[in-house]
Amino acid sequence: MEDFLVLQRDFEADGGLTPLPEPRAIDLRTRAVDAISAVFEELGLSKPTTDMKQSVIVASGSDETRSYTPRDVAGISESIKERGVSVIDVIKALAKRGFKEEAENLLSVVKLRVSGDYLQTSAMVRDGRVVSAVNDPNDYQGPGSGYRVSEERRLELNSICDVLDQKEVLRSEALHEQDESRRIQYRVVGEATQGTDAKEVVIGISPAFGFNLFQTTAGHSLSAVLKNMVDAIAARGLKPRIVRFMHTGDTSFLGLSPAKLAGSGVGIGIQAKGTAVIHSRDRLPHNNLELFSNAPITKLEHYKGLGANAAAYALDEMAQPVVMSTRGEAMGARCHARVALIYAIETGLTKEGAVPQNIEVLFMGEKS
Amino acid sequence: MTGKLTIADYPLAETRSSGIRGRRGKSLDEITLAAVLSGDVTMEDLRITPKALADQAEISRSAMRPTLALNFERAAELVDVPQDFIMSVYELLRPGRANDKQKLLDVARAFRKTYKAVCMASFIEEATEVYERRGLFLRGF
Repeated sequence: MEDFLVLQRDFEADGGLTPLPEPRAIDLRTRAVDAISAVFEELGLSKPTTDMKQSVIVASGSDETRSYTPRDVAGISESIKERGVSVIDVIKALAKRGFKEEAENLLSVVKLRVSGDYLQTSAMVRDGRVVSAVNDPNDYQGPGSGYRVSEERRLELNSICDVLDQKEVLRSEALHEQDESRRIQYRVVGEATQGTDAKEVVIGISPAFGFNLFQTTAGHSLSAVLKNMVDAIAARGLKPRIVRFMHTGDTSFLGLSPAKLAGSGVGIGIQAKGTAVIHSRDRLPHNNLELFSNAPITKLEHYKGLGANAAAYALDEMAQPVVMSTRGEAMGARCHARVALIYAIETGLTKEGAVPQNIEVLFMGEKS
Repeated sequence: MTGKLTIADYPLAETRSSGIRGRRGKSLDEITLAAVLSGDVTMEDLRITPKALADQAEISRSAMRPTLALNFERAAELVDVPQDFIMSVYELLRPGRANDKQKLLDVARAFRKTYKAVCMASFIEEATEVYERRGLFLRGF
């Protein structure tokens, strides 16, 4: 859907899409359900309950509704047929119950039958008027001809944007909070200082990591991501230490800072969205050892490889960098808005000069 | 050919809303919500007439769509044909439903004699020839 809206806007391939704002859609659905309920009641066909109506108003599909069963529907249909209820009865019922606009609208629809204008080729009704191949023929004669987006429509297309805000991102993240809390516990155990053990690899996590963001953009739980890295490091006989940094949300610095704290001089930095780096303490901020920048397609096995490679660098081995094969997925456009908001959530939590904290992580519910 | 409707007369509901009438002669202008509420409108007022369908046929021809125009002309003939008969013919026209051409020829005669539907009659007769050529009478489905 978003993709088509972009095509409409940037290529002026007008598909006639003009999304409704959510509150307007809910208003319309509420009114529609109320109108139909009123007709049912007025005609003595049925009396839908508040719960039935509410479930239909907010449903994304019929599976989510608690409405009439097929048997109920058959019964209602049967009495409509038996009593010969017609559209005129429905129009009257609507008007009687105060749905004048709906009554007028329904009448205008059945009036179409009288003239038959809508029976002509490619007819449709726009704003109450019939438009068809007769009065709006296809005049396409090659590029530059045919339907052109009008200036007015162009401005309308340009202004279409479904608003995704921080609140919405946090709301959808919060859905995973409870599940995550059953899998992992983060406990602050004091200020993180310089390590001395050469076997130590520090994993630097971002401010929002597991705090109010719980999934990577690929949909992996952060507990699973962390566990894969920790296990891979431990598998090489090294000691993973987890440190939360609150002074930055930037991947490069999230990688360099733990490298500086690590006894081995090798650190991993990871943001809540899953972007990660392996860094070495004697490198420039952006000159990392490995960068995992394609979070939307980064799998758990890649995070495992990341941990293993960090361990290898700590052991002074030349690791084979983890390769993530892409097939040219257009990740950017799909994730831009969400990622920008996620990053704003991260930086919103940062405090200048905030000292890093050692975090004791407890993985629960499975053997470690 | 003067007096025929053209695409300039389309849509009829807009260009001649007082001239378009339902089966009881009530014009589109008279079919208002107030009239519905006072009980002055019946389902008959909301049914298309042979005249309106013939008008649409003229418009189709003017829009260079002669085949659609023929369709409208047949539809105009069908307005007064009972629903049950139309449905039985519809069923009979499916492949293999009529076992021989006589069944369809009987239908054609009924259209011509009983319902004065000459376009429909010749349409069915044409179908009979095609069905025979394509072997659609004998094959059972």
